[in-house]
Amino acid sequence: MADRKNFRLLKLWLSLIFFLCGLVLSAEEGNELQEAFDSIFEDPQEDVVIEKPVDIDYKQQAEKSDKVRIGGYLLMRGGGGIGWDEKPLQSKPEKEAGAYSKAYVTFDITPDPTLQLFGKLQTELESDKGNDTWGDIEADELWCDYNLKDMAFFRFGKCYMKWGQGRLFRPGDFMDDCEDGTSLRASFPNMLDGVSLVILYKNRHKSNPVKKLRRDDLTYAGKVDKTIGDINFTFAATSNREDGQRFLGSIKTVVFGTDFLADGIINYDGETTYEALAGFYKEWSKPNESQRIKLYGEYYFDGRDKNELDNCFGLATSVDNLFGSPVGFGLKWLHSMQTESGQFIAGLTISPWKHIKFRFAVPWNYGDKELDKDFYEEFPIKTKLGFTLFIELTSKF
Amino acid sequence: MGCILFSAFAADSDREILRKVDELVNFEESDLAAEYTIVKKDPNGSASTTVAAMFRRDKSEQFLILILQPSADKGKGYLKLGKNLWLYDPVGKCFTFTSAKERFENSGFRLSDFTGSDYAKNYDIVSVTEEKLGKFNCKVFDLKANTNSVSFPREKIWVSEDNLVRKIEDYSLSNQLMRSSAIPSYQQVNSRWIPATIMIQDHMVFREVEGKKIYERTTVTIKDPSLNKQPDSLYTKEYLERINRTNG
Repeated sequence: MADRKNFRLLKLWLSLIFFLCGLVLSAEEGNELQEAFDSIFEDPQEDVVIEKPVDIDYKQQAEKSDKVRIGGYLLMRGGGGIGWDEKPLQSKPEKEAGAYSKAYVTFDITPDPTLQLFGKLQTELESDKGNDTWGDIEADELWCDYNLKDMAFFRFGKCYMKWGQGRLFRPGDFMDDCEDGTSLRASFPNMLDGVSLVILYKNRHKSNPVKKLRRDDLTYAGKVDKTIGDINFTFAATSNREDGQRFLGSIKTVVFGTDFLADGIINYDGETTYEALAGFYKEWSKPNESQRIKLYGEYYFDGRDKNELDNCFGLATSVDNLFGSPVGFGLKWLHSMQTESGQFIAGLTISPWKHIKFRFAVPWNYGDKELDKDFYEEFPIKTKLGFTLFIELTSKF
Repeated sequence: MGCILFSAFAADSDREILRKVDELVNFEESDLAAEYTIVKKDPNGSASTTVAAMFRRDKSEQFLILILQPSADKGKGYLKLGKNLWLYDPVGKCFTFTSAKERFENSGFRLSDFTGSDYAKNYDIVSVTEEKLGKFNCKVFDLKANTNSVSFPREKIWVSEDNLVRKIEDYSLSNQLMRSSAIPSYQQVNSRWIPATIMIQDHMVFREVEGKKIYERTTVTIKDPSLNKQPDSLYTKEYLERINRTNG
């Protein structure tokens, strides 16, 4: 009994000695590292007094670029998919395979910092349809910027504009169809925290084109930004003779490193309807790896149809460089509670070698309501449930 | 009684030193622009360099950082308006709100390090000791944050006799050492000071080789400070959007 007690005491003493040794060693290692870091101060460079500060125009330096820059990239994609429309995995599947190439060319002409012309042109070669020549050249973006003494910026042409705060649901993106038309935007950066006025021309009657400018094709819009304290407020309005008027009020703020956002929308086209959106966005990154995790969550009240009011929610997440590997993973789920419809997609990308990417996706579309109009953009088959695999080669030039 | 009076006097004098520390590095009367070269050396030995133009207007808590190199990131920028920080995503054509506590281009340097200092306002003094740091006789301030808006809840700063911060240790809430920064030399412009070099050792990013920890190190060199007035439109989202260009 006494031996057992002595043995326990011995174990206790030994543990204590090992613990203290560990503590001393780690403290010594810490001290060594600290001493090495502090050695910077043994013989530091002397402080200097700059009698005459340099006259460098850093703004001009940052804006300076070649007068003409041309770039672009080539994308080649091949693959296929299998999908089911009625009874997933039980009925006869639809299959499709093919390949296509897309080429994008960008040009950026800047005669001087006040003027800039930018264009992004694209063309496509659809090998699977037996076409062995490139298709028509289309302008994805083509616009001209003019900077009036840093007081006003003007942009004219075909360009993208994103309004509203939502990313999964975009009820506040009044300028969504801007890319299909021609717009003139005047921005006044020094008024409040930014004021923009836009006139958008979009031909809404392509099937019956008319040569003269129709008032229905013109949309007038304005947006005001103001940050008060930690909150950014945005107010916007659009008016179109056919669509009526739309008004947007947005707030956005950051709390504990998370973006919180909300949009409120009033639509008026003879009768008044409402939409509302609230959501969050959070990004995590591991400093010693390139892994980044993004998480979006949004709730959307769709009151455009008074007889079919709808509550929807969306969740999306993506992980780049999973555990430091060249694998990326993403999930997106949009769901309408009233119609019990939704869209779900899970995707995996693997980039084993430079320029080469494998993409695997499982799109699942249930119910009748289409929540994401771009859902099928990248898939060869438009079924309820599918599995698709692509091999992608991209090269910038 | 005398003892209480003496400690109250000492506390006042220490707080006065913190005020002077802030005053010397804040540019309230003019804009400040400079070129920052940030060299990050990973624990595995690989190094990356970022060159950025920094514009600061301390009077209204604004800054704009524009990346000049690497050329692939040229035009990418960060804009701070008051307490809000904006990052423009040229691919998504939208702005992202981000936190000033974030690391700059994944280096040990944080976006909040681009701003002036506000120790007297944001931190309470826990203790003050004296220590020799190489050739500098320093007062070591142990500081505890009184607000959530700062990057680190506890900091230890070594202040030399000329009221310049020479070394900083940043700690987490659980008192874990997160980062050490050394500012061995400064440059004086008019009556204000700006670091010439900053060396940062990130204690959260390391690799163990034969039992020894090798930390990520970031060296920041600041050159050619300019006090030229910048246009108001520079510190705007419109400017950031305009200067961002992408080839897709």
